[in-house]
Amino acid sequence: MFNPLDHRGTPLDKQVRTFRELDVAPIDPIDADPYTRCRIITMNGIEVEAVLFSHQFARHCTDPDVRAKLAGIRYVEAQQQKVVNWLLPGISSPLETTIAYEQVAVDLTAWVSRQEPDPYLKQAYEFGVLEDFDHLYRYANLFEMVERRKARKVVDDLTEVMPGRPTALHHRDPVDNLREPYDKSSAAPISRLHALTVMAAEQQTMNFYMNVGPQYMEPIARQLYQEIALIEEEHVTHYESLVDPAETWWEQLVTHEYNECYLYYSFMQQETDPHVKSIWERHLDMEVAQLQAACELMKQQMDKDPASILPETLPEPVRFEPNKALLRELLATQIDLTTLGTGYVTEAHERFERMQERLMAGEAPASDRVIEEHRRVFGDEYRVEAEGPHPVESLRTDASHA
Amino acid sequence: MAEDSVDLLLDQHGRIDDLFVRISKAAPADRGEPWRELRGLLTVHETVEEELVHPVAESLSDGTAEVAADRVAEEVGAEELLRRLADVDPESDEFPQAFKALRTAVLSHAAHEERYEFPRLKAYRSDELAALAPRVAAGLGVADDTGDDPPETIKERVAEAVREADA
Ligand SMILES: [Fe+2]
Ligand SMILES: [Fe+2]
Ligand SMILES: [Fe+2]
Repeated sequence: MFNPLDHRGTPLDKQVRTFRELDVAPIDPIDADPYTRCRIITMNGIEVEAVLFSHQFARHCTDPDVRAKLAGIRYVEAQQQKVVNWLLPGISSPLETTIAYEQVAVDLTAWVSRQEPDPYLKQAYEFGVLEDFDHLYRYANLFEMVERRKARKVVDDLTEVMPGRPTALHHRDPVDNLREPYDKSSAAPISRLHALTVMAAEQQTMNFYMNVGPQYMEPIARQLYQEIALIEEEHVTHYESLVDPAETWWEQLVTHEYNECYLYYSFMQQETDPHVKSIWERHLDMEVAQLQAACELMKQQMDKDPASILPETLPEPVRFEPNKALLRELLATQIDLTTLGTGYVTEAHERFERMQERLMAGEAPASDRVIEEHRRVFGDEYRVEAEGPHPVESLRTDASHA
Repeated sequence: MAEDSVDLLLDQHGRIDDLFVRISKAAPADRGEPWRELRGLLTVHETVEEELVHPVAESLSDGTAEVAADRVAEEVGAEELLRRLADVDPESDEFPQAFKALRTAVLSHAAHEERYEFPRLKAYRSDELAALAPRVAAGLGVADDTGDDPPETIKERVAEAVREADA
């Protein structure tokens, strides 16, 4: 099995690329495997987090040598982000890309929830995935309404499109979005990687919606982006609070670089597009050297062996694959959950109700109105129920139309 | 929601998209039927845009006329690709490559319209778009049965359908 610590990779001083090299050919939106696009969106989120984390670190760092080292690596991470995100085709509209973002949130989080060994962390992923699953359904209805396109052309039959936990009910009191962190002294290394990966993906989703939302002219589109962008804020809070805040900057840096190695390696294994695969390979070679540098810093600054916080061997590669059965099971069993403090409950408690009233003030939110509008214009709502009727009887179309 | 001219065009962009996907993923023997439908649809669609919609944009001053002119140039290019494909057997090995060139040209063109031209029409000429809708609908409706009509015949039929909607 590949162990990034056994390799030297591309030397740091050879990692800066020319503009010509950065100018990558984008994927074709029709020919590409939808999961190739998902891998691109995931790695973009990971690289954005690498850059933002390094900026935060630098702002808290007084040692000029370390600041210089961070700046050098950060510039390369920024170039990696450009290469990865520029694989997306300009022909796709922001809404089409939004649907792909939600497909990432669904199938990445579902995969992580299946692999996560810690039951409390697993529950956090199972809880979150049903919300992004519902966002996918709301955006798919918006997509057909404003762009007259069907979300199936984006997600194919890999991910179903139907109601999850209703978006309106995702608006919780901010206090109830904080989870209990794992304990860094006892958490399995894979648990740290999972939390970082999903947090990074959700953070990029939040950034994306907060920026593309106002580019739409249709009031319903503007309102829906605003509403869901606020839920992505909640999701970032939810997932980032799983990470032990006692991890030092050095430990976090090593975990970030290791995670990048892990994910590029994973996606390299699975990638079907040769051009994209060559990029995953090249970036893996770069990350390996960045990881060495991060390990060196940790050893110097903390006098602690980086291996003590890393997995002994690379964990099982992350895969994009359908999770339809799992999602149907979660829909059938966890759709009614909300949070209270750091735990989960099924009742609409007082603090939850207060927040709901505060935001909606008696009016239906855009996430409900987009479905109503769609029904009015098209006579039905947009769904892709590839595996049969919705597992929750009250959410079947006949029932909801009655 | 009353459908204005842009909504009607968007509907067809969606249909065009679907047909491109279907043909791209079909086995060679199954390309013929959707390809016939797509050819007719493209001719109808671009004719309506050229006759009715781009002229509205061309009457606007703030650069929109130039944006529309760029769209017309794209349509001329796409029409040329379409003409070249007319003699290619859809089951043949040379079809996919030429077809992909057409697909890229048409889908980028549609994306450009949706991004640069239609929003300006909606913002500055919404009354005109609404008033034009019956004629646009009549013209686009020709796409429902173009059969094996050659492009020239299709264009005449569109012009006639638009005239009738006026009457
Ligand atoms: Fe990176
Ligand atoms: Fe989310
Ligand atoms: Fe068009």
